[in-house]
Amino acid sequence: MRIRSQSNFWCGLLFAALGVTVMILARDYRIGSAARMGPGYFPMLLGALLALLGLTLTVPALFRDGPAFPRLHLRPLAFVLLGIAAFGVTLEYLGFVLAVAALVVIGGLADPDLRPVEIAGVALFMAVFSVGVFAVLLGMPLTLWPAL
Amino acid sequence: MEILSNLAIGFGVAVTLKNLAYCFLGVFLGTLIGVLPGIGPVATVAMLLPLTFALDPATAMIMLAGIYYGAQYGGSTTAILVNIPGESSAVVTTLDGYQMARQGRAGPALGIAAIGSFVAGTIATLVVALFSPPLAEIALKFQPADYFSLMVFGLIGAVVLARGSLRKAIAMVVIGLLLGLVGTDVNSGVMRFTFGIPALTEGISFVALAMGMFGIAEVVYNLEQRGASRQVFGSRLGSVLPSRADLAQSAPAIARGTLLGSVLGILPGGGALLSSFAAYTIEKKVARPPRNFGDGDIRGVAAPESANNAGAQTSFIPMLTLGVPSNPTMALMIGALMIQGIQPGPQVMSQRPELFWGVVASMWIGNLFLLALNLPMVGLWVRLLAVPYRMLFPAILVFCCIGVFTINNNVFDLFQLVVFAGIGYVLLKLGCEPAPLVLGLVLGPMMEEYLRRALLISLGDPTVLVTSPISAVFLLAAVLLLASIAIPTIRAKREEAMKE
Amino acid sequence: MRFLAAIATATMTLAATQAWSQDYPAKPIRILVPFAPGGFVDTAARIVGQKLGERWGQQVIVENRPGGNGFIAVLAAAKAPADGYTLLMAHTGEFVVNPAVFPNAPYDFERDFRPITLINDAPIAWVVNNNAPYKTMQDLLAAAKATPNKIGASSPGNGSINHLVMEWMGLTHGSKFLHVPYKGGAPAMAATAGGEVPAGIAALSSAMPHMQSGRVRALALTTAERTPAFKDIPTLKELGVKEVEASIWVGLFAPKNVPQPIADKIYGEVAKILELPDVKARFAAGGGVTGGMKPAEFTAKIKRESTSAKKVVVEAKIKAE
Repeated sequence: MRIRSQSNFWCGLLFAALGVTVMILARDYRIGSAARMGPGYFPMLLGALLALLGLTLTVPALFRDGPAFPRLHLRPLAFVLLGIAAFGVTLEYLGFVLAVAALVVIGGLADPDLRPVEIAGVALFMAVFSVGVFAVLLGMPLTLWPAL
Repeated sequence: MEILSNLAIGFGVAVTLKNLAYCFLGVFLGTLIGVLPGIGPVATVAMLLPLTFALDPATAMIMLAGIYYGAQYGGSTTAILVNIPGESSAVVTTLDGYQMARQGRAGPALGIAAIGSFVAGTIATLVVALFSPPLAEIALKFQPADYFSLMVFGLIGAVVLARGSLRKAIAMVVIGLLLGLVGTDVNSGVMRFTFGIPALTEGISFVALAMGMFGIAEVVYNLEQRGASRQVFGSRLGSVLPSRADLAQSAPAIARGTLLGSVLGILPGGGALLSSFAAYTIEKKVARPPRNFGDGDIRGVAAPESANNAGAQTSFIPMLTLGVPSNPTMALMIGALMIQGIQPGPQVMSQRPELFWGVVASMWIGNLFLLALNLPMVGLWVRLLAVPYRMLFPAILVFCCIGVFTINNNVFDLFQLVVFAGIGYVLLKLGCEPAPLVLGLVLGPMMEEYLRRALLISLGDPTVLVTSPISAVFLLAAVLLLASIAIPTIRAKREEAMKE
Repeated sequence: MRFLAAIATATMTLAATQAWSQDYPAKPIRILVPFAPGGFVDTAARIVGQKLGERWGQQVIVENRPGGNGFIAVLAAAKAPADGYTLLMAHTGEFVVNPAVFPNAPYDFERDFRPITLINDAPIAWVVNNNAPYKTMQDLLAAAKATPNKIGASSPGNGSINHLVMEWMGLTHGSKFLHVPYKGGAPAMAATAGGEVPAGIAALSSAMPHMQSGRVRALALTTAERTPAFKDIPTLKELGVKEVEASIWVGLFAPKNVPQPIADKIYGEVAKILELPDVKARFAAGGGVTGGMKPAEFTAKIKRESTSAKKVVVEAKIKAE
């Protein structure tokens, strides 16, 4: 059979899978009854609802035309997410200033039109500016440099 | 004319050089932290708390209050400019505000946000002055069943926020509700879906989710567009302030938003947040002509911004008259008063009139300062958009990361940001809009908590949901709203089917 | 090689520790708080922190690490270098309730911490809505005994010390309430004041605004003795519920291996701060008694309360599922 709306088909399938997963996980919690709900009642109900909603997207997608599957651009996504993760790790071990620099440089790679000199400039500017605003002006408890 | 003599006392306190200075300091700091995404009034008020030990109580409260409502003014700035809602109430502002910025109308959007906030602040201050005690009584009358029905109404309204597919919008609300379940269940103490991670026991970080799904996902989306289409911001800056036509169009929206915000703001819990969502939903339903919502309609900025600022002012009512905090910032202010040896409660108005009326009077002065501070800034913000995007986006990333981290000083929240940015990007690509999801996330836990508490107290009798008049009204309104959404869709479907 | 390096590190640490003791504090001190800003633990940390900062001429930073039932902040403090530059402000929940409710709590009070001193000790009060038919604590207890699990009583949360007290009364006295948990003391008391539930059990400070407005009445305190600010409220002990004794306290802690001279120095200074009239007044506003208890006494208090809490949790079968 031909899937006539790729986007809706997969979107619905994703929701249905998510709903079923929630229902499986929610089995660990007591369900109770409608009058005395346990912690598992809401998750079970919502999981089932989501699974049903998913099907109402997936099934019609087989018969009716709709949007095709979108193109995902992985380069910007990967570098932006990597940059944020790097900020977290660097902040934990090497302090705030290097974390800001790491974020700007790695995140900067997300842009195909990257200009190295500019990014270095932005990194320097953001490091100075954020230390000034967050650490000095607002007095936030941030570790600025690696502990030696 | 007791109110006049009371206001005279109030202005007598507020218009001293010292109190004017601290009021200005408060609103200035509030604007600053409002503009910085993620740095909320809670953290700022907490840091300034020790400073207030040396001040007298009225001065301390005037400054702290200024930070709070000042942050509401500033909060819309990043929502409009770069699609980053700094706090939950700014989520709706992104819908039309950011679209306006993309169309080169960032100036009018920012301008109307400031003007709407000022009008709402002024009116809401009057409401506080005139109706504090009776409104406080209403807040106390709200029972768990009533809150539950209010939340149901809010969630159905959330579906209206979306522009595209109805089924996808409902699915987004449900996913939001599910994400909201993560954490410790209030009624049983059970930890749900935390997978043994301590940081998740208090639930998913709202700021990480909102910034990931709105701000970061948008950055990635923009980076995909190469060359000309990306520079859409910088090329057309347009006028800086709203035109006469903009103002005329926004006036009814501001009035409705202010009214709604003033009323919902007094409810502890989701009140102030619901008011901005509800204002948008109502505007989308009643405004004529209704065509542009979600596509850069100025009324879609005016209504929620007025509502959240009005709500910010009236949320002082339960705090000052009952000692009940309606949000975390108010809880801090109660702390500040107690450190001063003042127990917030109904006796504050009679025993310390200079404190109560001084703070009320300062609110209006503070709103005036904010207008004077924010309108000239609009030009500056708009010019910021002229910075090439390849240099602007790393700065956006930095502010998002710092904002997310400083909420709990926990690196784990940054990993939440990564996850939600990824999910947000995929959802954006699949044509699912994140706004209904965010509302589900915020309202879901409260809705479940109130429903289960209502049934616990009634010993399992579900009729409490309809026997309470407040609850019955909200449920009826929810059904009507649902019908108004569903019927046109069903009709459209049938017509479509007939055509085939 | 690795052995040598270890010895070198150990020697350096030792030398450094000795040098630090003399000129402590030589850099900013952090006080970790397991709550978001605004609660009474946070406020206590800020009051004490500000005075310490002024008197030592060194910055004292209050760092909020909320979440995970306090686990996040307490673990961070337990793992921090024991040099006196990282302290923990914690309350009954972290060291009395958690070890009882969470058998797998990732920290151990005796193994990981050295108590500095008790900062503030506040009574817990039984209150009823002003329109409720119960005039005295005896009325309330008799009613709870006659209709078990029917009379709603609000608490600040599941597994809070207040919740434990409620269960404790059921165990020893047979008066069982319908436990209605809220998210913190303020909403719980607002519910009792608004008549949502007829009774409630809360820190005296949360109940005070509603007592003054005449919406709720305090019937009894759970402390051993009456509190100075409210001399007319009887204690449960006086009313014949002899076993039940609890309070909500805030205390200052350091990691276990903090050098003795540094711990002594911190205790000395904090004890003096707690004697200052303005500090005393600030804590008294919440109905509490300022601490200043010697570390050994404080340790004994915590151990005693832990034992009771464990007993209640086991017998009432309270568990964090």
